[in-house]
Amino acid sequence: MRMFARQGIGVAGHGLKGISLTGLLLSGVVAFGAAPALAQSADSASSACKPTDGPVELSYWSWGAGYADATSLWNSLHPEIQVVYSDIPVSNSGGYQKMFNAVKAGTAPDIGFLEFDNIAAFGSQGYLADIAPYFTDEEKADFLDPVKVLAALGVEGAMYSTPIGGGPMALIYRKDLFDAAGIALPRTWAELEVAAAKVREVDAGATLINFDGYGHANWFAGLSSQHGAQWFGVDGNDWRISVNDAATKETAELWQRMLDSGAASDLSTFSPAWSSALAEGRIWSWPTAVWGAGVIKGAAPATAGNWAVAPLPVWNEADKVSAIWGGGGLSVFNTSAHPCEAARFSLWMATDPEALKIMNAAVGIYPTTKSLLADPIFTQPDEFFGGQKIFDVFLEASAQTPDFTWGPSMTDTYKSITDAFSLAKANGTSLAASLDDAQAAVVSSMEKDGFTVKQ
Amino acid sequence: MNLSETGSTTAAPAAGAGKTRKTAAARRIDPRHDPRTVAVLVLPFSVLYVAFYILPIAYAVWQSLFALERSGPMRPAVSVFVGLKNYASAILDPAFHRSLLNVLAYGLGPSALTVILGLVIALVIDARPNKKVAKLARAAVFSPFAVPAVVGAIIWGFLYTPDTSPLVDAARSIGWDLNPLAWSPIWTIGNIAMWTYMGFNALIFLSALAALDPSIFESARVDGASPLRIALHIKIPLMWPSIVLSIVFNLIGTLQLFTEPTALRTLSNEISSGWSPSMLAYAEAAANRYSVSATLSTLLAIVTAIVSFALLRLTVRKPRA
Repeated sequence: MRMFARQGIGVAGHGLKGISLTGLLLSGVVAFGAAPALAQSADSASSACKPTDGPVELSYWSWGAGYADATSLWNSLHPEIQVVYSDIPVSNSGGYQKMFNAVKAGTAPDIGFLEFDNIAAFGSQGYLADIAPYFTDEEKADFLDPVKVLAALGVEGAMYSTPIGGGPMALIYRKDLFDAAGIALPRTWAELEVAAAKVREVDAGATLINFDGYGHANWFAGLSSQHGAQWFGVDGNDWRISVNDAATKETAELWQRMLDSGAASDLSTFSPAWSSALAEGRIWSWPTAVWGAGVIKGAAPATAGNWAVAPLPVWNEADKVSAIWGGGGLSVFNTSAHPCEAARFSLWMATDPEALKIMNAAVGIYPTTKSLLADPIFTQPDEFFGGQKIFDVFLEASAQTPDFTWGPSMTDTYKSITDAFSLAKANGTSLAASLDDAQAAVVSSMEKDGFTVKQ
Repeated sequence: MNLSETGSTTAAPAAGAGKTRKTAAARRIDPRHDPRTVAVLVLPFSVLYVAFYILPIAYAVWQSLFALERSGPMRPAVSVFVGLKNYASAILDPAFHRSLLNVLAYGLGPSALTVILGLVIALVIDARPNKKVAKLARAAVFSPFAVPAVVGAIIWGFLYTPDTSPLVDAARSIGWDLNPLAWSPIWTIGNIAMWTYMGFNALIFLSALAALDPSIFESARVDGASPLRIALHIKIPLMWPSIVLSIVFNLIGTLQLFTEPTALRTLSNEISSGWSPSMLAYAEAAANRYSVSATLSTLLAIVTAIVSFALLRLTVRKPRA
């Protein structure tokens, strides 16, 4: 992200601000635009927000349990601003495509949930409004730095998203099974590889871990970034692409070894087969993001109390680095007639403790603001995890988020990678070698997207 | 068009000397021959046909002549006219080749088997003239076709998945380590398609058989031909036009293969997003590259048309010769 910010400002800042300004003018909201408001202090929110006469209705597209219920709470509290929630397919599995199609058809919602890795895909097209002017400096300062960087898209002071939940990763594991087998908790990936072999000896029908990369390249992206991979960068007027860099290939090789020896399973993640393997103790651990805690609770309710959360294994014990998988926030489309109300609603969703409590009960949500981190919901012990205060682990992970630049069309990049992995599996070739095919596919796709590309 | 032509030809012989006057009178009497009536009757169809068939095709072809261009790494894309450039790059695209090879293998394997097994089923049912049994068998083999393709694919997906499948459970209880998800996608997909369309093909063949004159088989039997011989040497050659029709149906279905692999993708890691040409075109549209998608769709339509016509030409001549 650092590099992106340094080199992206000039180019990106120009394009994005210009577009969002036009968006504002088109929607007839503020005649003065975003730029002057940015310069103002303290109560810039009130000056940029022109109150609308009469009731306002906003459309809001998202997925994930709990979001609809939180929206209902808002509606009961704010009769003058009613939000209509629509459940759409999950992110890369159709949700973003639906949003892109809606923009093309002129029927985009006011508000859409975008994961951090996909904000640039919409932002680079000029589809999103910069909502920073609608927040006070105090409100903006409360957001944690890592998520603020992700929401800014390299534009100083801009916010193309109101971050709702982070996606810090950790290792969720069956503590009871590890203890019974006398296997120590792995702190490094090398230790995990050894432990995975031991699990096979203890229980031939079980594996320590599942490879989620076949269907979920964003999971693999996170783990590669933990090892120092840099898939994207801006180089002058070009994108530099290297989804097959050395760190990524080493990550692939680690998993290849475990897949070849049978130490890692290759079930399709989130499929019924995968869920029942988790529920029946045939997969002992899952390197996943904070929301994965909620997924496990849903998939394996009978195993409550047997799980625990540990930091993600690292490559080098001296370097404490974690990763993110998912996480995101609410973006306001620049076609919205009420960007201010939309921004205020998104801030409420992200920061209201009651809203967070509803969403957190349904899916694990990692807060994005400093004040919420101190809220009791995030400091309470969790009985499902044997009374562990699991958010402590995720807090530590969040501070160790690696610098990683997201490309302008991540859904498409993920597709190139999962396709290459599928092909490798079908042909019995190696994941690492298939990354070269993925690289070629990403380069070709981005050229078709009209970008100039360097390898 | 056809209607008025047949009208005038049937009117012609009866007309005799006062030809022109009489046809004019006939037209006045029979409003079916009035071009205005024809126009009114054909209009609703034509409007829908043009709006939902011709125009989208024309728009797709038009779109395929454009490509995206950007002036910087974070700038929005603009569409520019590039002529046939998209076609050149699609024809050279290894992903397109792979998808064509997949459907080729599928066409030579499961798709061909669908026709062959459909034919076998039809001949077997036809050879057992017990009406009740034939009726029941016909309904049984046809019923999978009544199941929506997506529903069929999802249910088969569950039957493939070891943890949810009674079939796999049963196989494992007798010591057979069955794992259909590890099969080649050609056959996991092919099995579903065979299950769905075999009966449909059999039904086409059965109706072709029903139209044949039973006295031919009667005399063949009197001459001492075995039922197998009758099937191979009399029934199949006589059914040839419907066999060709069925092959063309299956060929088009093969080239447009989409539903089954797309539904199975969530369960099997071996099916890529561009596994078949239709899926590839869909994936490109999903990535907002509408021009590339339009190019692939147009190419696929051209390939389908060429192969279908070639097949009709080649095979229809055969029995005549």
